[in-house]
Parts: sequence; C-alpha cells; structure tokens
Amino acid sequence: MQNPPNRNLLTRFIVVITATFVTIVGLSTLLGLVLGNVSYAIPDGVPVIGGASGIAPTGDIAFILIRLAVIVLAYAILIGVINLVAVNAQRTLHGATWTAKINSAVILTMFVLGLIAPFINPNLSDFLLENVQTTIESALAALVFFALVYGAFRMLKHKITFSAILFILTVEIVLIGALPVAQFGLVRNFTDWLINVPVNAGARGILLGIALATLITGLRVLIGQDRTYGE
Amino acid sequence: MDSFFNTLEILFSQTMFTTFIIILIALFVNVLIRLNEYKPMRRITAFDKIRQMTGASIESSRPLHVSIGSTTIGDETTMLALLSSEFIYYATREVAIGDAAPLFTVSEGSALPLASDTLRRAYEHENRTRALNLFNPLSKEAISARWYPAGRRSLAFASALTTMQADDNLSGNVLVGRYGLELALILDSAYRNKRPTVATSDLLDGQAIAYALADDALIGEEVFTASAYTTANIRIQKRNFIIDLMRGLVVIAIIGLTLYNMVAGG
Repeated sequence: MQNPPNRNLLTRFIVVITATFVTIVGLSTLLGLVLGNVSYAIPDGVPVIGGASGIAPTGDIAFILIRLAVIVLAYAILIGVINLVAVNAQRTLHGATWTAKINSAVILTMFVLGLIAPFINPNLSDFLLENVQTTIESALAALVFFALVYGAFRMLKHKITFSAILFILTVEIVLIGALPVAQFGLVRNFTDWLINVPVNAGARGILLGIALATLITGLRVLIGQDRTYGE
Repeated sequence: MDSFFNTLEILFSQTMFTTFIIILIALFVNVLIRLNEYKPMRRITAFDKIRQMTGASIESSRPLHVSIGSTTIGDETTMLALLSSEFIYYATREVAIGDAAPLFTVSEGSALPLASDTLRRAYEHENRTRALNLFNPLSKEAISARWYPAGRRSLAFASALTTMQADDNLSGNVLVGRYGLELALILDSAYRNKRPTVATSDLLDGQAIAYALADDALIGEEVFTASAYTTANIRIQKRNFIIDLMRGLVVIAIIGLTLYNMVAGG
C-alpha cells in the first residue's frame, strides 16, 4: 500500500484550481457542441438582470476552445522532433549496447540528410520516402503474418489451457472455411455462423464494455471526481 | 400501455437518446454510491505479472518498458490515454526506487508531454526526480520519455519497439493503449529476447494478438480497472464499482428488451 503524497497548501491549491478549470472548460465545450449558441430571455421579475434577452455565444466559445487545443497539439510535433533527436543523441553517446549506438547514429545521420536533402535535390526527400521507407514498411507488414502464425504455434506449446485450445481451434476452422475448395461447403457454413453469432457477440460485448468504461470515466473527469491529469 | 412501449421503442432506437439516458444514469449512480473502505477485487493474473516485472526491474537494474501505443490527447482515444498513463503512474512509482528508470514510449507527438509528466510525477512522489532524465542528451542515463513516429499503420513505431527489446536491455514490457496488427512484431521480438510482456489494446485485432502472443493480456475494459489494482485509492475503486454496476444494468436492459421482443413478437 502506498503512503499518501506529502502535499503542501500551495500544491493543494493548484490541484483545486486545475480541477475547477478542467471542469469549467470541459462542461462549457460539451454544452457548446451539443446546444450551439443559446437564445435566452430573463423574466422581468428577476432582480437586476430581469428583462435581459439575447443569444449566449456558448457554441462560439466551444469552437474557440477547440481551436486553442488544436494549436497547442500542433506544437507537440515540434516537441516530438526535439525529443527524437535528443533520445538518439543520448543513445549514440551512451547507448546500453553497440547495436543501440549504431541504430541511433544511423537515425541521426538520416535526420541530418533529411534536413540538407532539399538543398541538394528538391526531390531527394520524396525519393527516400517512397523508395526506402515505404518499401521497408511493406516488408514489415508481410512479416506480421509470420509473427502471427509462429505466435499461434507457440501458444499451443506454452499455454495449454481450455481457452487457448478453443482459440486455436476457432482460428483453424475459420482458415479452413476460407479455403476456395468446393468440398468444404459445410465448414464454410459453420465458419459463417461462427463469425456472425458467437464471435460477433463476443466482440460487441468487449466493445460495449470499453465504451461504457470510457463514458463513465469521461463523466467523472468532467465533474471533477477523477483527476487523471495530475495530482 | 402498448403505445407507451411503442414510444419507448422509438426513443431508444435513437442513439443520442440512449446515450443521454446512460449518461443520466451514470451521473445518478455516481452521486448516489458511497464507498468508504477498500473492497477485495477479483484476481487478474496480468497484474501479478506486472508486480513481478517491476520487482525484476529494480533487482536487475534494467529498465521496464511502458507504452500507450497510438493513444493520444485530442481525439477519441483521449480517455484511454489518460487512464493508461494513470495506471503507468502507479506502476512506475514502484520502479522509481530502483536504479534504472522506466522507458515510456508513445507514437503520437501530443502524447509526449503526458508521458513526461506521468514519469515526473511518479519520481516526484518518491522524491527521486534527480534520478530521472527527461531531456538531457549528454547524460549517461537514458532519456525516459520517447516519441517514435507511427508512420503508416504504426509499423515504424513497432519496428522501433522491436529493436528496443535487445538494444536497451529491457526487463519487460507493459503495453497498454491502442495497438493494431503491428503488435505481433513487438511481442514476437519480446519473446525471442525473453522479455516478459503484458499487453492489451482497445482494438479487437490488437486484443486478439495480445491474448495469443503476450505472457498475459488484459481483456476489454480491464485496462480501465488497472489503477485500482496498483493503488489503494478508494476514489479509483469507486470508478470500477460504477463501471461494473453500469455493465450489469446494460446486461439487464439487453435481456429485458430481448424478452419483451420475444413476448411482443417483435
């Protein structure tokens, strides 16, 4: 069990301010997006503000807040690039293994090449992207299949449980059902049923659980009961 | 009576109305429920594995690798990113007493400040902020928060994590957040390098791969409950309790509506 953190008065004050700010911004954005700009008319009987009417710019405020978030997020890519250079410079100088040092040195070299490439040849960057990165990514995508097949084999080797056997059996049946052989019509029908009924039901159950958990946590963050963004 | 049920049927066929009702019930339940003491929860083996991995990281002075994949702040994965980093915060607080700082990787630039802040808070909690290197390229300590660009289909990110298994001498991997098919490459590399791994994803293909290839996997919304297993915070346990309760209500609603359709011949 963890001890509670030692918080001084200033830290607590900052936590309260942050929570209040997040709640106000979150709720006003939500309301602005749902309701748009709202017309209002206050009855004459209300003291001081009675009789006032007009349009509250709730929708406009929501869009301003969203635009602010987008601008802040755009700067994050800059932080990312600086981080990438710093991480690989540190690994090149003090990497845990020789391979780490070599990998990071290559990445740094490519980064510098990418920076000077437009001055040497304006098309060089595009050439490298199309002929090196895209080709390597395609090769990696093909490797995923082998990793999956080997993983299934390994699962039978190490995790012989009822659910593991069921998992592998289902995979096998679905693969056999996908074969373009006329004699496997019965298996194909069974595969269709398997995908449409139990697999679909399970998948929906999992997605429903995730959606519910997301909704409830989001609500708790909005009303300030969960402060996952800081202590 | 029939017109009442017909009206209900029409209303509930509207997604907005159903969502609104769920939100109202969730708010009501949230206010109504009081949880005063820590209640025992069902055992999930993945959390035992994570506890072993944090212990192994401290004893062997090798970094634990944690990642939130392609979740980020600012899109539909925001909540998952916040919760995953909350879980990582509690998990890395344990590791913070060791010599090797954990490595926190993200594939979205906007998630990098979240990763840095999560680690900073964890180390601050243990009064060990000096042991954490977040940006100094000249330090002998590895930079703990790392951004690896995703590229198309996150394959560039996956290849970076694949090479990290051996290059950074990891003690293990905790992969929570969003991953697709590319997770197979990371888990295969982790297996070949004998790095224990706990993985999960909010995407179904990533989840299936995590179940088949990782040493342990968190299924469905288990990642949302994760923080309650790593800290004795009543507030977090209350969240789990409400999620469980709402799930129970949805199950009852589904069974009830199915029975009603059967009886009414719908």
